Amino acid sequence: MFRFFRRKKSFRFVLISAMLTVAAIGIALISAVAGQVGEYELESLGSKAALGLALVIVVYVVPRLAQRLHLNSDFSIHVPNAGLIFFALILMVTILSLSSGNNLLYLVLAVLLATAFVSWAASRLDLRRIAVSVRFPNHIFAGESAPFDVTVSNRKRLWPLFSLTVAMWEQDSTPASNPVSESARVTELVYLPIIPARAQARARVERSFAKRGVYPINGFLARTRFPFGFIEHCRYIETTGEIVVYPQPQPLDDFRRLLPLLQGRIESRVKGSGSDLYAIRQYLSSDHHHHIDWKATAKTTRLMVREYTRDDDWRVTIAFDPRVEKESAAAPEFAEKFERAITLAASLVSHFIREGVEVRLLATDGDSGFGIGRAHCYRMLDRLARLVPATGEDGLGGRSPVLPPDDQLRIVIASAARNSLSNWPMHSTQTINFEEL
Amino acid sequence: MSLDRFFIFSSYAMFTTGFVMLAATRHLDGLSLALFAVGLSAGWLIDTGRLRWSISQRRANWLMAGYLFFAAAEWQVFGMSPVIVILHFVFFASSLKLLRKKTGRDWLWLYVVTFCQVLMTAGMMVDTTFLFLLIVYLFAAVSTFAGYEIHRSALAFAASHASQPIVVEYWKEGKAELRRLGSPRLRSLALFSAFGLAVILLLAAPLFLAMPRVSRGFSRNGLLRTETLSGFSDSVRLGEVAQVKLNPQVVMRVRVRFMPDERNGGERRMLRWRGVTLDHYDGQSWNYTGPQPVFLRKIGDSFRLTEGAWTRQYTEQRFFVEPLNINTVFAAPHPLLAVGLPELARDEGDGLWTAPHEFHKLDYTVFSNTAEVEDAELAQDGSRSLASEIQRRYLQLPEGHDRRIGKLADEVTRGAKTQIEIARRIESHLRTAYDYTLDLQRVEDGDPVADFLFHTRAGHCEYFASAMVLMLRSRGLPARLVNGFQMGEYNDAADVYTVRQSDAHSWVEAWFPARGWVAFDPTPPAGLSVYGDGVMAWLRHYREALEMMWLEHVVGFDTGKQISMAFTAQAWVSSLFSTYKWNVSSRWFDWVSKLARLVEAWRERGSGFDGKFFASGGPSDGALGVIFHPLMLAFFGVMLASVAAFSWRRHRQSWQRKAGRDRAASAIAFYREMLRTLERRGHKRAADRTPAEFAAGLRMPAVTEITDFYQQVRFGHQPLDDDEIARIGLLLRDLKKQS
Repeated sequence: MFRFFRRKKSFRFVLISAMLTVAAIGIALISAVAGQVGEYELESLGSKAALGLALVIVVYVVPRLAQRLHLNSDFSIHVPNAGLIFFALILMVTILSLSSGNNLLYLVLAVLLATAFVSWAASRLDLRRIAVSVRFPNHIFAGESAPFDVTVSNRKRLWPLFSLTVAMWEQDSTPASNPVSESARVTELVYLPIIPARAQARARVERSFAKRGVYPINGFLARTRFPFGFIEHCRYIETTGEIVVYPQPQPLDDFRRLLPLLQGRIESRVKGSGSDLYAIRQYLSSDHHHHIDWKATAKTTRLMVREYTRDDDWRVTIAFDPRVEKESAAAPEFAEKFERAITLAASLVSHFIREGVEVRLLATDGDSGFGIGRAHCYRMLDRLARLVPATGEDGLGGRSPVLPPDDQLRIVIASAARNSLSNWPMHSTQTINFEEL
Repeated sequence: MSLDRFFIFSSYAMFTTGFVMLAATRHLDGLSLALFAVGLSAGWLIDTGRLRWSISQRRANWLMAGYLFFAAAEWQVFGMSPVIVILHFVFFASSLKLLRKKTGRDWLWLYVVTFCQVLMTAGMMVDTTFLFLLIVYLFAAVSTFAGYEIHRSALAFAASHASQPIVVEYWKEGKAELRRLGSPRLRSLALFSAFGLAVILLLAAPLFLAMPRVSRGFSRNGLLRTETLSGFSDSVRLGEVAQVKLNPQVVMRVRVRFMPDERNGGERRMLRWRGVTLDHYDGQSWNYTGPQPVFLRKIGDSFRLTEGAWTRQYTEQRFFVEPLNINTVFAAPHPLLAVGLPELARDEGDGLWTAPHEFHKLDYTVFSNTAEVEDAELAQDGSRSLASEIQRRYLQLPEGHDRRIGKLADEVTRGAKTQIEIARRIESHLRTAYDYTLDLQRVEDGDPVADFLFHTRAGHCEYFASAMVLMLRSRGLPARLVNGFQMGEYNDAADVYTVRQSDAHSWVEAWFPARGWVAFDPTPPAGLSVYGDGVMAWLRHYREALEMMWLEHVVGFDTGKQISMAFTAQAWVSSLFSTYKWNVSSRWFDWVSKLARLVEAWRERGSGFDGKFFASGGPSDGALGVIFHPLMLAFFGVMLASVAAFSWRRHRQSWQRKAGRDRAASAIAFYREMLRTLERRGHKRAADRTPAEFAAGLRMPAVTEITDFYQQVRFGHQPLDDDEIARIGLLLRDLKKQS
């Protein structure tokens, strides 16, 4: 019951503020009446006392109220060219009115000034009580179009929403080029001429991102120049989120020259002693007689054997070492090479996952663990999307991925020399340097 | 109607209104107006797609260059006024723009030109027509600019997103579900235009009243039409006033405040508005032969016209005079004071003159002594001594004048013993024996007055007045002709007398040494203006009342009126306060007086003050008693505020109160509070999203934590302890701070 008393400060504040205000009003009233009855000394005293109390109120109350008040700085104003012309017209009419004394010009001036105020108020009112939301796919690939569903709700009871442009304010993160600098960009999503009161508008916007990476969403910007185009009001709508753009996997044929060791393994991977039928071929002397397919043999009049896939402990570890020397990172072609490296890694992940292989991605940010399926693939692509070159003081900063001993195939993509991961067995490790890409 | 069509329609409404405003000034010739109207119509057809043809930019440039030569010729060769030349040029340039397929810049250019047309109209007309047209223009302008802004923004966005047209769906938010809507109609835009116009007008009114003025409101309307008025100069040919009487144009409006004893039981006394006095008749025309008018010294804003003491009995007349090509100042006889004129001069005929006002209206006030002198009093004036100047100027008869006039005067005044009787007999004779007509045909050549008296026996006021002057002079009474106006038609709606050119009048002033100049009007009643009655007159009166209100409070609004308005407002507020004074003041005044004495005594510290702070008589006595009332008021006010604060806090914290009793309800309550706070920030949870999904999507730690608490109570049936309740309150407060 008395829990509110626990917040003594606020209760005391209310009490004192009320007392001060009432006292100031009472004294001002006394002063006014004193003036009426001719008690000028009392009037003077009362007015001074009321002023003093008003000063106390200002000093005591206003700062505390200001602390509680969230000053709305979400709105900003910009005056476009049409507005500059309009205000120049106002100035011209002002000069004409003052110099001529023509009351009809004064009337026109008054109308212009009122119009300027209505312009400001209407555009501000337009942006109040609106909600913006954007839904986009969880998985977006670089270079591919992705649908963004934009929903703008007009929460106002009576006032329609006019002429609204909605833009998304996002960071343009290009980690490969320069991990330090990030530039913000505003992307216009949709323009809505009218949204009735208590209604919402939905639009699907196709967006594509040229580069992989993480694009943090800083918020939405709602802009309008309604009603007259003289003043542009902009409202920042806070929201957080990020758009993760995966690197676009490429066909591995593009990297054939870099993966000589893998070719056979890629192809031989699919033939093994598993239980899934891979192919029916002609009998060789080394084949076990249990694998003879008599039906096929009868049909072809030649001995044919079944060949099965390998499904036991076929695993691939892809280790991406983003560590790089500062001098190498500063090279102009490094960014492109790094991106190609990421693309290669993504292509390998995608390929092996598609083939049903257990894939693990190692990088300086951690170990994905072995896994199969699209969800696991997306997780690894997500990590690849976030990878940035790591430069340390000694040129090789960051943790080195630790490699467990029971892998069957390892692919290392790095910029350092081969001896950077010297603890890895060389015979089962395919190393690809950035410089080769 | 599509947005494009709405935009085009409202734009052309704006152009048309600007055109009508200029046409209403009556400064432009019919050909220009007709040609521009054609251009306007053609432009409409082009923009609505009904006319395929349009003028190219190149051709328009050549035509514009060619027109410049024509404009120069208009000005230099044909002698047209610069204003008309400029108007013609504006019309031509606008027509060329209208006949093209317009870009955004063309539309803007046309809007600016239309606005300039409004400005020019403001300089050329001051009647209420301007106000009505301005309102129509504003409505069109609001619609136009609103539609143009949407049109332009849509085009700009489409241009930058040409590769992917975006389809927008509209849904209405209902209580339970969303309902699909069609494309939004433009009705809301039209409604906004009307609402916006109303707000603009409401805001413009106080701004107009409050803006500082640096000169008198009526002046400096340099493009107003001038009314031509003859018969009011120092030389008037007989018959000129009759010409004026054929014109129904308004010359001025006069608001009269009568002296209390002149109301004659409700009927207003007839006054005449003196203009010029003429003393010399040469047989064909009347002339003023006195010296040039002498300029009077301005004291403040007024001119004093009499050296004698002011009498309490005076009539106040406020004149609103149209732009005229004469300098005459009209006023009732015997003016005492004139206010509001830029300058004032007076001639020896007691005529008043001011600076030319061909292009602007005049607003001035004159105070006159209009008390009539009884004939009996005049009859006692038997003095015959006349100053030489009076004799020379006001007894003058033209050379070769018809002697029959004198004989007629003798015959009419036979037996009259006093001068006043002479004057009255002549006046009466002329009124009754002759007819009134405006027909100026004369039968015989020669002296027109003699022709009037002895042949036609009918004429207008000039003839009657001229005849009386000559007859009086032949009898030795100094007399002069006065040209001015009758009182005019009284408009009870506006409380003004509307004086038209048809009210122009001539009468006589005769000199009585003891009294001065006394007015006589020999014109029969048929020659006095008669004003109609009925519905038309009633409509005319109200239209003029509106016109007067417009002239007084808008066109004539100046600093003086601003100050007057401020004083009026102050008086009104004081009267409101005094309404309650009688009820509250007695007690208030009593204890305020006591408080004052207390203060005074405290200052004196012991001289007569017995230091009693607590009086024996009760709380109303002594110092405590004096401040008892405000203390009690403050105390109750604080109590009230405290109770309100307490209740408010209880209401706001109600989920906390419920937390100990009804867990589910309290959970819903604080979760709803969080959702309301987020909604104010623009984050609304969609119906198809679970609380966890919603929280995950927002990525706000406070939201995530509150959602966890919510789920703990709502679905996990786990109660919240005090710390958790406090934690939730803290999180909610932080969220609200950020919103």
